[in-house]
Amino acid sequence: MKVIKVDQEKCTQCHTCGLWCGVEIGSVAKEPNDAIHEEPRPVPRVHVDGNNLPLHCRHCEVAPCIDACPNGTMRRDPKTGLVYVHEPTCVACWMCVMVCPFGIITPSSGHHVAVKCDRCRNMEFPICVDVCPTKALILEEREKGATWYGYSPSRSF
Amino acid sequence: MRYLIIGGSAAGISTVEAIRSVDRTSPIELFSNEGTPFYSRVLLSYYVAGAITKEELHFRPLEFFMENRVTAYLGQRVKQVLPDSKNIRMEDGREYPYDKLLIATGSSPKILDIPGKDKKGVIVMRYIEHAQEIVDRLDGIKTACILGGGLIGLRTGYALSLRGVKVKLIVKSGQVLSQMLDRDAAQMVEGTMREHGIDVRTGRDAVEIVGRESVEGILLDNGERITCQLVVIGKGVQPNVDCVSSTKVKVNEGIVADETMRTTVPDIYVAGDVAETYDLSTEKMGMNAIWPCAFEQGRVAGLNMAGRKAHYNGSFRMNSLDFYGLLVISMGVTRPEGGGFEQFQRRAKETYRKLVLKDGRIVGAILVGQVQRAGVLTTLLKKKINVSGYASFLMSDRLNFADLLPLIGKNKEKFTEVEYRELTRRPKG
Repeated sequence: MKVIKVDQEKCTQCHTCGLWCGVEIGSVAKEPNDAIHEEPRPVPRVHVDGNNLPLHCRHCEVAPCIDACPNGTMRRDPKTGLVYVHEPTCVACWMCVMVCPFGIITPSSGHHVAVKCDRCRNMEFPICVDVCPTKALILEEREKGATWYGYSPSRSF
Repeated sequence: MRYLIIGGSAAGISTVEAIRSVDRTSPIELFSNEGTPFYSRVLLSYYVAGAITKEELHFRPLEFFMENRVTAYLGQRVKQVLPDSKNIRMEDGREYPYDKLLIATGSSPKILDIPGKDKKGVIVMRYIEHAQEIVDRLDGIKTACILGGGLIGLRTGYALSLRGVKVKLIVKSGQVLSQMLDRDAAQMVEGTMREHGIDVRTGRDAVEIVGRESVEGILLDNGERITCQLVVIGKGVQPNVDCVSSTKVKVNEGIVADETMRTTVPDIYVAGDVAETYDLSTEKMGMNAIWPCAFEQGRVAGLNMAGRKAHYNGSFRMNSLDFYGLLVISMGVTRPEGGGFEQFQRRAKETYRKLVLKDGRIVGAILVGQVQRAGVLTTLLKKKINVSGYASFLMSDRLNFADLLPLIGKNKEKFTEVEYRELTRRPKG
């Protein structure tokens, strides 16, 4: 399982990651010029927290959000172990917001669904890693021996 | 190994998933007194509101039992656990043997003992049948009275008001959600509900439900009569412990669990609403009948049943609600009694925050209006981190994880999970 790792010493707080995540993932238009005018406002899935920590979903080994989700909306991709929101079933109860240790799950602009980073699981490469000008964001294999647990539809045991 | 699980909601299903993550072949039998599997009790009010369909109540797909090779006995009540012979006995006398048993029998609504409680149209909200009954009768309901200011009552009232029903909320104590909120936060919730037409009556109690066969109204303790066609009773829940009566399984209020979610009897485990566990916020044994705890406890129980070593640190009460866009999250002890607590409060026009510390640790918090990053507080509470010197930061909108990295570094032994280690180390690059 590959995760996005952060080199804080290289982060210059330029927020390029958040900008492009908001455009590519958050917006409907997918073009910066249109995305900035979009209503509801596109929500980026990565935020530069504090001084210099771009923070995304960490895809916890035992994810509290999956435990807390009352209808299986928060789930794992059985192939990759990545945690994602199955948006069609999200009822906006904010149980996941209540338990996320990193505070990275946010209500969408319209408050209809929970929004969070899924490490661009359906794309070839995470957009934030791609655009980071100082290579402070790196896609790397999670350490050996690490495992994961939690609801993943059709995981074959 | 023969696993037997009593209960098919959050705790039971979580246990199945945990066992199957370790043991893919041993037989698992699951008994539930409910005929409908996999619906989320927590979301019944969303169904009443018409916000979701019946299918969207499902927290696991219907194929779950088949995919996980579980033999399910639905709509069948387990009467008695027989620890000496390691069997369970059903109501009709059938017995099934087990090697490892999980008790996840959940809880039942407390009965309100007032005249007229058996009339048609008096409903406790617990099972899907109750929600369905309300939905089926919606056309005939102009006014509904909710008896009880707890979360279930409020959620049901909110749902009914979204359906255009006139809702009267009768709360015996001086405020709504007295288990969850302090007075300030409760007033904000009450204010929002009133703004949207819900009639909130605190410090009032119903003394009688009137009508012939069906509900026609209620009588209050001040003599006032309210005409209504539906009465919803939300007076809290009590654990279903009957099946272990006259056994050596220790019961206080609920079935007492140790740090592995085992009961006082070998090979019998417990999880969910029925379990009494160590409470991290009060530092006493207690009941925390909430969904996230049920899932976590089920996992710990299941892993231990299947021979892994898993440890349960403890539970604490927490909940999140959203009424007309007013978001509220509350956790732990929010109205501390006795000495030794430090309290921080910040109230603005639309938001409110409260933090309760004891010995430098977070034991409770309330967030109203702005709830982003509430989980950071939850985690600090859960891991019992000393946050001395951070209180004003934790109370502010600046609250974020990155600025807590020094604190996490100081408490490395409590942040051993890979997701934290990854963030505190420089990547190889």
